[in-house]
Amino acid sequence: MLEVDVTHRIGEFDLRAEFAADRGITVLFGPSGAGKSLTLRLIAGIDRPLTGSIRLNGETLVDTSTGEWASPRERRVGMVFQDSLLLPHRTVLQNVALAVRDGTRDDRRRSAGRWLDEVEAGEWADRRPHQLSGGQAQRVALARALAGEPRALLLDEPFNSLDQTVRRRLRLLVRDIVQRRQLPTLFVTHDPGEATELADDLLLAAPGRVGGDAGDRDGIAALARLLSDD
Amino acid sequence: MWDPLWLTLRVTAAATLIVGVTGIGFGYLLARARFPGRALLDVLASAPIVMPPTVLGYYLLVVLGRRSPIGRAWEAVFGSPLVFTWQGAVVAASVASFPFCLRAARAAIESVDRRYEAVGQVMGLPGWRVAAQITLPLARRGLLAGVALGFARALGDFGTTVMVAGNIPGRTQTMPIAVYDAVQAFDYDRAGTLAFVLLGIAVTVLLLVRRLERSNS
Repeated sequence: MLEVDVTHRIGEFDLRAEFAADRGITVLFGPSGAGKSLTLRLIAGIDRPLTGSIRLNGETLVDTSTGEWASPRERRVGMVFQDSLLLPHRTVLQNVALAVRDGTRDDRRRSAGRWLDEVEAGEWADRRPHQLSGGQAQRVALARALAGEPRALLLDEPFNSLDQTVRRRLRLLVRDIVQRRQLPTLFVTHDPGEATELADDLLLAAPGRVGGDAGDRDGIAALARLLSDD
Repeated sequence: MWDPLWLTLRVTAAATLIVGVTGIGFGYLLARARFPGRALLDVLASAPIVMPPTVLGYYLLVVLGRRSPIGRAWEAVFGSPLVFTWQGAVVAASVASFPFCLRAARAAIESVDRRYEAVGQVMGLPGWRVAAQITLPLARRGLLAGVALGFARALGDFGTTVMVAGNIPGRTQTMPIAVYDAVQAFDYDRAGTLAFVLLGIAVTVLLLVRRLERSNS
């Protein structure tokens, strides 16, 4: 269970994010500029919120009223961005191995290999990132996010730059992995099709506002009808 | 004839090493860290660029001379003064070329997409590993260019070196100074040879850097 209740400010932009996400996929759906990505950054510990608190499985990640702060390392979350952000100077396997936390060099490489297999990317282990297609690179980025054995997954429009066929396949993969690992997962998107297909729970975002009451399947269906009407 | 060449290679190699390490280190701090005195460090570090080399050399002479605290400390430890030695020439060449490497390194590091660093943070890498395994490798071409610039500047230093280390044949007379000396003595053959070798070294190193950059891409 991930509980978020924070505010943040960047320049003129004010954000208020308030929601709880249970196991399964919670889709954060809303227009770009709403603050969805920023919300993920606050959860991962890349940025500090102005006020409020974030808890994961009852453990406080940050609480500005008590000054509690867990470093990104202590938080153990996995994150995938819109770009794969694989390091060009490392092979695919080395990219994933960097995210494996413990063990000797060989252990980490073996473990990285297993994660690559899990996302069906094992055959590209020795390639360099520039030799991968966009969809392949995002699979590797997903393996990297999983390799740290995260307690939650944060996916920030991970498939935006991919074509529809590849997107659909990767959505199935994500759904499959989340179900198997029972991970609380936040999936940011502004694609209504993607939102309805993936969401166990749906959170709406409007500019400066993320969350409120999470919808259920009915809510999603209503949303889909609304969106298909226009 | 070849004394100045060996001396120059030794001084330049030492200066390039010093400037490479400090230039990249301070370049990283200026690009990524926020600390009090940052603006002052920024200005001071770049000051040698806008100072005439002889003025820079003069200040170094004041700071490192035999009566200065640093000069005395050096002499106490190593048994000989720092100024008017080849080590003094290394200091002179390093200080003169440091800002060039620093500025290139800083620009290279600033141009690294910070989201790569965020990925490293979220993975749980400590700050030094994010720097060593993500930021610096991503900036490596610019860093290499910075070190090459530092090398070139150190190789060609005249004014600062001559102030701090003097012009002692066989001991502190580097090639640029030897060229000047030869011309003063109307020995144009010697000046021409020295100048040509110096040019050859500079061009060779720049070609090597170019090749390294290519093989990296």
